[in-house]
Amino acid sequence: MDVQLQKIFDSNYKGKTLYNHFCELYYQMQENKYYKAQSLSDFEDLSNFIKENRFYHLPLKTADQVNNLQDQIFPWQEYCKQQMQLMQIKAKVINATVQNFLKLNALLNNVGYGFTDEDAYLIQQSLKSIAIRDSNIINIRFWGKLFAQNRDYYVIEVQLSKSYKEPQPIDCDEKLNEYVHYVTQDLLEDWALLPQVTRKQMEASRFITYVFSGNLNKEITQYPIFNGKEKHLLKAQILRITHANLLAPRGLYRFDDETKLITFEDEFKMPESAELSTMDGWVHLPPNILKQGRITFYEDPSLKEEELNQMKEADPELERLKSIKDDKPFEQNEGNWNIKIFGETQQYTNQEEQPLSYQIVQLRNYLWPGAITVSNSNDFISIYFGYGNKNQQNSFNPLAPNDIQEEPEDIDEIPEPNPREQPDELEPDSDDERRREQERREAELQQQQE
Amino acid sequence: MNISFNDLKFVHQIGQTLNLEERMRLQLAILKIQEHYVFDEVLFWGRVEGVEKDYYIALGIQYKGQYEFPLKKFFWSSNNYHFAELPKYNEEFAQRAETLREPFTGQHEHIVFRTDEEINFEDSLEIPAQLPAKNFSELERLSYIVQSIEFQCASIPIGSYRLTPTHELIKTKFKGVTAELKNYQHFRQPIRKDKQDLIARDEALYRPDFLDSLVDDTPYNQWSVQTDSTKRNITIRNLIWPGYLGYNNDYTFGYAYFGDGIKNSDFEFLL
Repeated sequence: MDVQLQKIFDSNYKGKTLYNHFCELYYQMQENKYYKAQSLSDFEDLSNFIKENRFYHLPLKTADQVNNLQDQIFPWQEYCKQQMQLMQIKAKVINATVQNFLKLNALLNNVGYGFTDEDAYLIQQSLKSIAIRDSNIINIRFWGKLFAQNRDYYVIEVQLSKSYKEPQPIDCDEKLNEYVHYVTQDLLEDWALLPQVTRKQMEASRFITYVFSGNLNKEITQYPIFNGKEKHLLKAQILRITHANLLAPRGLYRFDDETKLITFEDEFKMPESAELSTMDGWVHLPPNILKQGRITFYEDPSLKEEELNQMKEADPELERLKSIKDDKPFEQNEGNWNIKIFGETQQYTNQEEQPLSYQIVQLRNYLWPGAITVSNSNDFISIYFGYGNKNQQNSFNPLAPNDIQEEPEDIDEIPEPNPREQPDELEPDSDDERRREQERREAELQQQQE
Repeated sequence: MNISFNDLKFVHQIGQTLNLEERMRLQLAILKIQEHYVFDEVLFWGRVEGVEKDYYIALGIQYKGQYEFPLKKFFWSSNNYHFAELPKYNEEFAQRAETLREPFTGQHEHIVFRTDEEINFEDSLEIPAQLPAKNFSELERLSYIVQSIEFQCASIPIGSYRLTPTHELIKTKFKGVTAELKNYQHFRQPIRKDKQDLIARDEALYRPDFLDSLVDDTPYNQWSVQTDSTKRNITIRNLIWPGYLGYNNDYTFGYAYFGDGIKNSDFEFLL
């Protein structure tokens, strides 16, 4: 105890020991006429004051220390550099429809979703940088944010004029991979392209509920077996969410039956707010994904026609640009979408007797919690914030494995013929028989030799 | 979370926020709570989304004069922004409420479970002292969920509070922590034996981590610690209650809940 106390007394702070400090303090309390120390409460203040404001003589650094001074690494260097780079991205002309995310984010904030303004600005710059990089891009929009265990994913969706023809198995649908996605885990870092997904992967992903780990190359060990890494499952989930949730106001697009293409309507007028705030005003933009994992039905040539017909009936193709009113209702609700109104709900009429409304409509999908579409009378945006899983109303029930094959029936067993006594040597009955036996054996031998 | 709502930028990490109307009205409503109740701090706890309307929850904390852990009192309000005390829930049915997957409707009188108890007064000779339990309403479900989340999730970084010699909790000068799970602890009365012993022995006065650590939570993977690009703004999320968010940077810390109030009971199967 005494040793410890002695150590404290001798401890050094900027060249003075505790003992010196006490002496100084006592002296100041008594003698200093400018700082009138009167009570115990001033003791601490004075002590602090002396500690901070004393002139302490620091010994000069030795020659060794000066010569080997290490450059201090500025800890924020990387961050500043990346941020500056991102903010300076600019191009003369970009030939693509780039979403005005900065403006649309303000719309999202008004309904209680979205990013900070700074993040929205970074996202806008990222959209620009990807659009500059690839000249085949027609459309680019911010898809949303997928949360993961270790690091979240930010996703950007892109439509190309010429898709990359990666070799795919025969049963895959090219149109399924029409949307191309880029992901990143940090807005200041580079974006990675997600690989294309095959039909089998798409089919398997319907039965998997999984929280992403944050590592794109992680092996997925789930049942049913998914042949691919996390990046494939990520792409499959993103596609499922897009095809279920990307909405457009009625009348914006037109589906041409002959060319099977979606084009803009010639004269488009944004529907009235009253219509937009009901399910009548919205349609699904992308096609529906079949249970098979494709957009159009695949007729496997190896299957019989009956089987194919059965599969087709269980998995019908739906018409394009279908109203969201016809979506399968979720539990006891009417339909799949929850509609809420935000903002100024006051109805105005302008000088020409036309209704003017500043209200903001928010549509939320029950089946995919986190998928929302927000619109006011001028803009609309669909976005996703979530973990990427459906809303399971029932507890998770893992898929039962196949029935175990039963063993075949046993054949009746007959005991081996093991008589107790050795059979007697059979003697031939007569000389004739003996002779015949010998002849027979000789004939067999001759035949074998031939 | 503080009602100045400067910390909302952390909540943006899960894609949620409060719009201007909500912020302004909540500030007024939370100040109004202090008209009738005396607390050291009144904080905004979170928003539980419902189909028709949302619920807003506020939390009043009293540190002074409380032995070993501050007193917490919850207040709820619907879209009318008028806070009232969150009532007690019926214990029997509360457990079932945890596994419910239906969303909140927003109508607080909506009945979640019916308690079919009828007592026939004519036949019995004695009239029971208590009336039969009322039906389990959505308000009670909300109460149970809020208190569950607070118990299971509410977390603060180590070094943010200190235990005084009289066993009161006070806030200390907070300097920030690195982004690791071991730097966080539960903001509740410790239930783990070793932490309780620590406090009983008075050793907790000198240690920054005297409450239950998050590292000991089972299942282990339910916590997700993430930083943003600057590596100093840290958010810590819970996967069993998606929507819960704890945050800190070098100056502030706090937590909030922005979600639909449904527990992710399948969590163990999802990894």
